[in-house]
Amino acid sequence: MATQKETQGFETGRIDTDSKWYELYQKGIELGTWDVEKLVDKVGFKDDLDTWRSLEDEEKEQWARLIAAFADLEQAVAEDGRRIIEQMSSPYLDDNIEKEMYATVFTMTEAKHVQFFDIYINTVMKDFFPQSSLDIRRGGHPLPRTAACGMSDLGERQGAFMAAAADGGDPKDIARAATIYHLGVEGVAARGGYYMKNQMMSEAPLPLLNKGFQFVSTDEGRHVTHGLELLNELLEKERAGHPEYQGVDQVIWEEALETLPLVMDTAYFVSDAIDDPLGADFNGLIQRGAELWRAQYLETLELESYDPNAFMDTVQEAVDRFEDKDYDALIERNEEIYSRKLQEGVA
Amino acid sequence: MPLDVGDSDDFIASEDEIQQALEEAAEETGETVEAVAEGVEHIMTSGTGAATNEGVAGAGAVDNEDTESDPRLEAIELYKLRREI
Repeated sequence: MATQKETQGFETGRIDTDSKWYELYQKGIELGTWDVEKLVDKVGFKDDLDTWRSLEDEEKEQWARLIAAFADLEQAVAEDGRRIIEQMSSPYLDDNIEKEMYATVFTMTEAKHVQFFDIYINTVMKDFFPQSSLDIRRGGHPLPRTAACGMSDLGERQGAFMAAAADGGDPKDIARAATIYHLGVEGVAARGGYYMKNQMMSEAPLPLLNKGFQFVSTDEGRHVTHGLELLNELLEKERAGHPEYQGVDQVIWEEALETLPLVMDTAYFVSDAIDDPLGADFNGLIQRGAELWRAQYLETLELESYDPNAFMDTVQEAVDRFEDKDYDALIERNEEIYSRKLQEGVA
Repeated sequence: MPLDVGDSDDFIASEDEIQQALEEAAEETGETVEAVAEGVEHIMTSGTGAATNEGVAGAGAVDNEDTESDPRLEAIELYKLRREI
């Protein structure tokens, strides 16, 4: 569709500049192409290292639990980036060049997030991440702290559904993959993580980490919008009565409920499971999570399957299970696995 | 309202202070005030409209005395930094 960008004095032929996907693409170009190396050069590591060295071990452990989740899940979503590009060409989605243009920027931003957290844990937090070179997939292993909580299962689940959706998946496969990737991992888990880092920064300010998070979260906000746009497109076709799209609403809701306990397990692991020395605030996170949940599934997607009591019921059931978990033993066991795989020369 | 980003208890700076910060950012980056405001609004509201970007907002602005922890000013600072890197 040809459009005219009157305010900027140019016209396009095949690109629709009024498209929401074009807007996401353009914002990705304007704001998402920040340079990780320039960021660390500009802000520097000194203040972060000074703060890090002043922390007690239990405080470092709390930061390490949170950042391990980001380091591994950013890699998981980056590795699935190519599947996003494949998914955009699905015959079940409206075909347009703006979607594919956006997907290329999307994939690039996820790679930069991997780069940022990899640099950070190996430069500032090295004493708590002595080993971090294994690939989370391809026979490797997640970082021991990621493997000890729900974040590892979340990453594996996301990878499986993304592969199914990209490999000729039907509308329900695409909906399930988009729900776990964009709403579960990026919409609730990551934003819950930002809430916790905000609280922890008040007690232990790490300026470079905070700046990195600010850029990462701005990129991730676009990715959540992408997920909501995609799911709304599928829901519109279901509501219009197209037979192949029936069941999309139900699948989105099912996946939301499956994903939530894994996110809450991780939040509990980072906070109350270690007596919350930096005040990450698990109860506050639950309240924020409930707001995000309602904003995504009810206010934006208007799911018919939405049950207003499901969030708190699911959280409560999950918390009852977490209280009996021995997370320290799980970290120790996964450290042994990690070391063994390194010795075996796993990539 | 110089920025269309809803309301929040964390918004402690005055509208005049926000407008001045936008004008200064426009001068520093060589862009129009409208272009800076559009980018800052994207930083703050990307995702779901009902939820501001907590990666930038709230206590995320800790220790930045220039912004007095107002997330709008923090987002303007982030926009300027983006132009540098």
